[in-house]
Amino acid sequence: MRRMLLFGGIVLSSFFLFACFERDDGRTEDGRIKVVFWHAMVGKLALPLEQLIKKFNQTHPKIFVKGVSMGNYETLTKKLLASIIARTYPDISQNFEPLTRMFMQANKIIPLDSFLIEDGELDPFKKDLVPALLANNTYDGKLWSMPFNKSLSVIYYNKEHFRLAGLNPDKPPATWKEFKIYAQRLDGFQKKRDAEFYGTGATKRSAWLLESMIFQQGGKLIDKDKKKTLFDSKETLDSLLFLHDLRCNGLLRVTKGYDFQSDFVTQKNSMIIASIVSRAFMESKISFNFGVAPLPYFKKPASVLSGTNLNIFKRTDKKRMRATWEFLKWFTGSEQTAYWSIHTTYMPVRRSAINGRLMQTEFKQDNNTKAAIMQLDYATQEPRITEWFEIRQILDTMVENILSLEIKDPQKVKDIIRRANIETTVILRDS
Amino acid sequence: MSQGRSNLKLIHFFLLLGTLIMVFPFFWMISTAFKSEIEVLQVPPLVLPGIKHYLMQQNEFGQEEEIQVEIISKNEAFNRSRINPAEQTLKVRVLFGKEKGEEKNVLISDLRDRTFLWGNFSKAWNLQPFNMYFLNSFIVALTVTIFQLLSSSLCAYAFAFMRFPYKETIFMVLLGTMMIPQQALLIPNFVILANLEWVNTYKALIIPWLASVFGIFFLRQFFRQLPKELYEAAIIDGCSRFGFFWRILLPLSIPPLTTIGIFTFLGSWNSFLWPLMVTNDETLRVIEVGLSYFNQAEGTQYELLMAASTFCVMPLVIVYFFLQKQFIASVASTGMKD
Repeated sequence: MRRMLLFGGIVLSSFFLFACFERDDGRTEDGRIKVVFWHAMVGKLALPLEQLIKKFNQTHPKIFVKGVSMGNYETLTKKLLASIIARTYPDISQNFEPLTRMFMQANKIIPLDSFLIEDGELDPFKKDLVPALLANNTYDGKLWSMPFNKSLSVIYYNKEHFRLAGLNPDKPPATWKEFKIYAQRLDGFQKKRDAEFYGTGATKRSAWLLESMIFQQGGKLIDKDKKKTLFDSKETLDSLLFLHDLRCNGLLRVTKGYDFQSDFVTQKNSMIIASIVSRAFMESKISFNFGVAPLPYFKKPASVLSGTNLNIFKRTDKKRMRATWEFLKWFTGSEQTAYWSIHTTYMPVRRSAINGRLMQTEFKQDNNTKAAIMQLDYATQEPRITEWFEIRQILDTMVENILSLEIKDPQKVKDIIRRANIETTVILRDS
Repeated sequence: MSQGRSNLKLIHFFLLLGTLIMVFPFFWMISTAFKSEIEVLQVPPLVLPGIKHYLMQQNEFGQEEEIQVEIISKNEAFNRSRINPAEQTLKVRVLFGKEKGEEKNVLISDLRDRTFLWGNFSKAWNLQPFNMYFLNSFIVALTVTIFQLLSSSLCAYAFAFMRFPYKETIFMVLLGTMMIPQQALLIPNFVILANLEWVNTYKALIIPWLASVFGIFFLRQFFRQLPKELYEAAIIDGCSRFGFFWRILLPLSIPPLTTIGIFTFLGSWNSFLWPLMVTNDETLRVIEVGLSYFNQAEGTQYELLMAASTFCVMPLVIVYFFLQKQFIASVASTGMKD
């Protein structure tokens, strides 16, 4: 009897196994056009996104957007590449620029200009986009993507510690020179509290910061033909020597991952260099008054954009692509982008949103929201080539290796930079 | 005698030490699961969560939310026993969030005192559709286990009892596949599934795992220890080949089948990379993939990750309590030689 049951179980489960066919024809059961949106937002950043998607679905009865979170960028990228092979790719997804470039070359995504021309609003639409973001999403004169979760570097500082260390909490450091003076004061103050505490912190893997610093000195990352990287320069050396000098004098502690952020929350340090998005993760845990300020600069202000843009994938189903565009246009619309920015700290996409009622009220209520948005005026970008993924890794490792050096040794710093530049140039040459 | 006893004490001491070392991460996981966001980061680390006061409020999305406050003073009214205790107020300061630093008079009935935050579990559970993940993990692990037992025992039966040309060579080739690491097969396997259009279906999660070389090898070794006379006697008495397998061999092989069953179930329950690769929809995700989504780009919510880890490992812990003997026997027996 028992064996009969077992056999029955096996037969049943095999039925189950083969009954699980699901063919995707791009329509929901009630006939709405299905738009699949792959993203990497989770937790506190996913909530506003889900709210917006819900609102879109409520107001657009013919379209149904299904958001699928892939958890993090790395997984999302892997899954996108795999989905191209398996022909299971979504309708829309958030991608870093190198991936957009790759999909462009592989003819997997479509430019958005044709939709804008159909809608008859090519020029007004582009004019309303924040210029730095328009430039970031334009390739060869055409708009190929729309900005999604763009972020910028900022400094966070503990206003109470500023006061206690004799610094003006309403005047954060504007230049790196000032930053160093502030760091000295803060470190002295923290050391009096506890020998283990420290003044300022940042992450070890700071390619993002280095790139901004190079731009701030008028330097370049890559030559015009995109055949050579230009890291072996005075600007790179000066930037890294400055950071390494801070670190060797105990004024800047570099940590693994996001430990420096945890230390800021628990007041073990008083000032950190981090992304504006970190605010979403820290704010609920911070029990003191803190300020957010633009990234300090050397000669001129510059700040490199991070974060991803949205691409629409190519399909034979024209209606489905059109529906995807409807969603993308709505999502980056003035009111929605303001909502998105206020709840996630990511950059608003449109000028009309920044000048609009929602954001202006937010600026008045919370001075800290301005710091990143002010930087949009001079925000720049990394080279948008497919190889940049790899090059960035090498840069991160290079910065980490230099900031891990225990003693001041300019020659060694120079050598590490030279070697990294050879590596990155080889990547460009071989591609 | 006393020598023996002190030896025993020493052994027990080391065993206890080993136990503590093994149990500590587990304890830390559960303890962290009960802490608040800020307690997780506290230096020096808290062994157990402390007492926290929470104020019930509605947030901007219209959801009930608890915000942590500290009690500044008890109002005069507090001691007047005539007032209904639920109407008494306290002065509190908001510790975190948008209203940070604000002082408020609040009703005692709106305040909650908490040490162990059981809410972390429901928060973690609701952050991802874990009921679906559990169901998927269970379906996949169970189907894979049942089919693997069946296929492994059938295959091992052939290798142990039957004679056919190139038997040894075929067996060696089979064993050879065990030498290739899973990661090396990932891409070819994925491409095959992609061409079959199986990506993002249950089939992709289950079918590639229906046979296992380890299971075949392990069962063959066991079957070969059984006397060949048993087989011959059964055949002479008119038992069919399948009859022998089903009525004699399988009932004799309950212990090794349990071993393989346990290993397969554990392996399937814990598998991560393959399910991550072949599923896109939330409705097909398994728990390990769901767990990985607590690791975020700009910071991890450790208390929720630990709460989720705790309930994901619970089914295995419960199964372990029931099958303790078989677990230990199966781990011990995999080291045996023919």
